[in-house]
Amino acid sequence: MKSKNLFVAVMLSVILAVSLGLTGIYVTLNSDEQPEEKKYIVTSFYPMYVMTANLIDGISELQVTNLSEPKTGCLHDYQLTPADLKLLSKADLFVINGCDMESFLDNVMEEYQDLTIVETTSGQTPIQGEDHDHEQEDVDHEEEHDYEQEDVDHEEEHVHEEAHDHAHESNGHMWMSVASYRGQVEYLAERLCEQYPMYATQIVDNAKAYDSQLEALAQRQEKLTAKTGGTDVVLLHSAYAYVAKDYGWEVSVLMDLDEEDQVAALSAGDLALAVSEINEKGIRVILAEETYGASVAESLEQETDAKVVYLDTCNRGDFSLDSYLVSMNHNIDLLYEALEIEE
Amino acid sequence: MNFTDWLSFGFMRNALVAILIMTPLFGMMGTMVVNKKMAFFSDALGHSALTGIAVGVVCGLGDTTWSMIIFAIVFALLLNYIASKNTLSTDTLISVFSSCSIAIGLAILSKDGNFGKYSGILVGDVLSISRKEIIFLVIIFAVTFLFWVLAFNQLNAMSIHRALAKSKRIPVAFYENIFAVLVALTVMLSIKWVGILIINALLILPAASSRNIATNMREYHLYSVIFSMFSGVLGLFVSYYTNVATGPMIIILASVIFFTTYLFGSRFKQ
Repeated sequence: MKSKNLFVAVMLSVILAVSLGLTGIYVTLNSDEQPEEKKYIVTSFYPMYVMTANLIDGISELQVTNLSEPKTGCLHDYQLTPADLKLLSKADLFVINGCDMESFLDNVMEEYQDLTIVETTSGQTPIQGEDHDHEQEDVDHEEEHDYEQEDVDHEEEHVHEEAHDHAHESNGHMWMSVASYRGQVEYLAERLCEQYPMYATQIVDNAKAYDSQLEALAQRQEKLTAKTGGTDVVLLHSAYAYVAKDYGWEVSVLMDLDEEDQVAALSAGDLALAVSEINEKGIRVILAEETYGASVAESLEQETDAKVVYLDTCNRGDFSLDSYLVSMNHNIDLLYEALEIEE
Repeated sequence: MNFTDWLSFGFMRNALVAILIMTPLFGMMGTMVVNKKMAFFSDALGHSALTGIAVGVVCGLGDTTWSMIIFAIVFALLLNYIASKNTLSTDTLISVFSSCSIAIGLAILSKDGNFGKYSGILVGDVLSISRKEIIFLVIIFAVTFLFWVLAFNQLNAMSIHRALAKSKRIPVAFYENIFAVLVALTVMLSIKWVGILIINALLILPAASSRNIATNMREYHLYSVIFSMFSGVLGLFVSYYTNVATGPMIIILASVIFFTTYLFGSRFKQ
């Protein structure tokens, strides 16, 4: 009996020692021993990362890190991992988009009461509500847009919108409009200057440099607007409402397909409606998101003369500073090609 | 490396509390599951969680925990009932039930190619433990513990010889049903953070390891609970620092204990 207890004690001690030892080695190998003075800025998803990285470029005391956002699928279904929470706990500043894009944060933010959050879309008005819920839109209208009463109305909304369990009240994909994106960058720069007055000059310089690049992008867009303004388009993702807004295009049909079940829930009738709309108005362009919209887009393309353009939503990338510019320029190229006009 | 910062997070404290409550329970119930050769039964029970969730989704429930629990209880009782009536071997019966319920669950959940949404439950998510769940865990712990104190002798008699126990006027079916329901509850309340694929190991491994070295019931229980709690707490700790899913880490540690006791256990058995 005694020797058995001894055996158990020795066995557990050895396992404990080995586990702790290996964990220690793992942690030491993986921690990149940053000097403590560094201030961490955490961003909620990719476009936020890109804009922050541009603004603090060259300031070695500030470090920006992105949450481990999903590699595939929809941001709305994202679940935080323990590593994300660790990251947030040492963050100095948390940069988010706002406008309900970061619904995955709802449950955890209580733990980080002291964390300063910068909502980059502050001060801008998002495009409101999606048209995908025609029948109920009028009924819901007031409740949905009344932010003060959001909590009270929450359950009610769920009842109405069972089919779309994350139907957004306001369209948060603001970074897809260059104009709005510039507004976000400007607002973020102001807030960064407030937070880090010692680096204000550098941040302002960075902001100016980045904005001039964005301005060039906007000018490219304006040229296209001049040639195509007022055109009717079909959108297969609500993010492109901002693209349409930039070019002054009229949105004829908007299907918000950012999840597979929404694609599946689409009835033949919905498609038929879109097809007749496209044919009637002679719509030439369908803007679609490749992951979820492709199947619907292809069938629309076969039924009509319209062309599908798969625009980059700038949501993934290689973490380089010009990531947004490259993606948006590429999008413009694609549009020129689809509309068959010379730049 | 700082060895205490893991407890500075609310979700880690919740996880630790849940583990401190659940692992002794798993260790305790595991002894009987192993003795009664019910490992396959509890495995099937774990898998039935998929169907429970699917039923909840079909009924439009926001919180599928309830449908999961109710389905598991029904499943366990049904399985017990049919096993006592039928001449087919229990093994085959469980297999049929288990495959059938998994098939139904998968069919519903994978409709529209949407299974990805639920795949998290296969490996478990330690962040899913909330205060509300901890209250449930405390209740189930208290109930099970009470049942154990009151009915252990009967359970033990049944596990040794069912017919003999019956002849001693022990209401065998009654105790078996209660035991099955308690196993169902324990498994369902932990499945979200341990994961469907491996929840059964948490029930079986500590008890099996303990059986390798124990020579009487008291030792059997004691070691089983110790092994279960040890792998639970250490597994949580290691998983936090290495970014590994918690459930699998716990099971890996429990397996190491099993193999060690298996290799060296025979010398304590004379």
